[in-house]
Amino acid sequence: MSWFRYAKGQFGLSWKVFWRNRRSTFIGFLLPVLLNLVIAAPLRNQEIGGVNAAGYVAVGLLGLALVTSFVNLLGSVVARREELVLKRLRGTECPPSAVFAGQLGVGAVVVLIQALVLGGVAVGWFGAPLPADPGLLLLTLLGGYLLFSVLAVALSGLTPSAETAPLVATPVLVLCMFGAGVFTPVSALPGWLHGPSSALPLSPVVRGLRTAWFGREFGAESWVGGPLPELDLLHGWASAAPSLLLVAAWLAAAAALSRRFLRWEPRRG
Amino acid sequence: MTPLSENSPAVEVVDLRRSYGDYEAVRGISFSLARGELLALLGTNGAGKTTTLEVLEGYHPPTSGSVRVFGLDPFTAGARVRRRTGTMLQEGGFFKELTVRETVDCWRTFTSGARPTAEVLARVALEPKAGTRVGQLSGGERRRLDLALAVLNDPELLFLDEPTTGLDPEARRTTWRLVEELRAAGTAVVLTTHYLEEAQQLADRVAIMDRGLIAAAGTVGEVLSGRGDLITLPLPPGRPLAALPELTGAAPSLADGRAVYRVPRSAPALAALHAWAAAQGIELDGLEVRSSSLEDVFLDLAAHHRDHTAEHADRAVDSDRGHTEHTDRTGRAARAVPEGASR
Repeated sequence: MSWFRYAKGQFGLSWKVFWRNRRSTFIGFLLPVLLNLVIAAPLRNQEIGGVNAAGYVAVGLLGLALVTSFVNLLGSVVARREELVLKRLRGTECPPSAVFAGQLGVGAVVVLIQALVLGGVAVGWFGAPLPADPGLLLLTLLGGYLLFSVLAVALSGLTPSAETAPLVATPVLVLCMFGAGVFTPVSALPGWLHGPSSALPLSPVVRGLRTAWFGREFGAESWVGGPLPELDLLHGWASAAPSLLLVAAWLAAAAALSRRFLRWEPRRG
Repeated sequence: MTPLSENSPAVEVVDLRRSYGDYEAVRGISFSLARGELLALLGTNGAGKTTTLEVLEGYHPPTSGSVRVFGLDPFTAGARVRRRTGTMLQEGGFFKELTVRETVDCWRTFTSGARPTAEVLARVALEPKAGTRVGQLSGGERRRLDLALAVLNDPELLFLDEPTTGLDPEARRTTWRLVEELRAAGTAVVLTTHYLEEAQQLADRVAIMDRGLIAAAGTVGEVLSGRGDLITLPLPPGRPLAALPELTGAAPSLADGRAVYRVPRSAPALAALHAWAAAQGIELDGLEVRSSSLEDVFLDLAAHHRDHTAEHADRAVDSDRGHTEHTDRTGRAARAVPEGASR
């Protein structure tokens, strides 16, 4: 059996468990979609930086979906470990990398579905334009997803039990939700927070997603400022490059942490 | 990569040691298992059985010594070895959200040469529960699901860690029957158990582990040979132990209020006992004669162990029998420290 078939088997298993489990369906899928209706929809007649404000927030929420997916993944990796599911899976012929590839693959597909839902609502209802650069959008989304899912695997090793998983996940969620420019531009934060804000792992992802979707130079937008400069494809990539590099750096750090901290069995005694 | 050697034994363990921090769970054991053979590892909790099994299953590398399964290192060549082995952990987890059938169906997608789901469920008598969520199963049913998944690939070598703990007698017999069927088809088995009856029923060979070492090993007959027969009787009214005679040179000892003789052959000893009883005018009510069982070997080791650790009052209990029950009840918690300290 090839590695791909093992990973596919694990994907099928995780897929079923994801939709069967209410917690993962809610946190991992529904939450960003609900926030979109509550927070983005009322802004449909406003503009920010020359783009539809509801669409601006919807794309921010697509970034936030990576973090809710992180919260769900962290909880389920810890639960799998503590309930000895990981140990049991490791006792099968399935390579360990395929076990995680399957589980991470499910999250990736769910994020793509969320992108279709959030994007569909933004374009169809809010009146946002179609993505200016779908390739850059997908790459940023994928890079961001990898970063947050590997970070979840890494932090699972530092989380002692399923009960304490929210204590680890919630700070990441709250910081990213309010500090990374999801609902409102970073410029709306007090000046001394701009530096820490741009260091958050979600900040470059959100900025990259907006650049790809709206084809403008984001970063300096504010509720009172004028339209942002428009970018052609090449300049879009140039504008997104620092963000992508920052995502790559975060991903490398998360990968190193997960190598160091990942555990397959509960710690006892 | 080492080529798969078709002639290598199913399992070969040479001077295996395995430590967790300062605690040495296994302190130098060697054994091998031919294809199609069944070895039972016996021992009190904390004796090192599970640690030994988890090294064989490839969960941990040996601290020193060597372990080969079909000639391969199970830790480094894990996936290749596991294609040919089946593992039932002492405690393994499943997804509570899935039904029994869905669990087996999913497992089949990443198992080479998997048997059909219905057939596997029939083998462990779980078909009536096929549509039940795993979270709703009883402990015994969950053990049988674990067994079903362990034999899904028709393994050449099966590891069973306390396969019948928590099962009712009927389910236990179902499990035994399955193990015997697999053996008849050539599967080698290493199992650990607390049930000496189980070892006596199933095993070609037993190894009794005690504090990380193999204290006795061989066929059941070999381990029992020279241990003779046991004659036990309640103390006759008004007769203390000291008043009872020696029988063919064996003096009685006291256990649970009964006099116990261990004699090389029962017939001459019984003749002597009857002659004594007739002369004294005593009825020998409740007399029992049986050959030594693994339980006696086991209890002797436990008693030996207790004598050596008598200063550790927490382990001391009244009788041999009381001792085994004591470790059965509390041993899980006690053992979780050293054996569960694994990573």
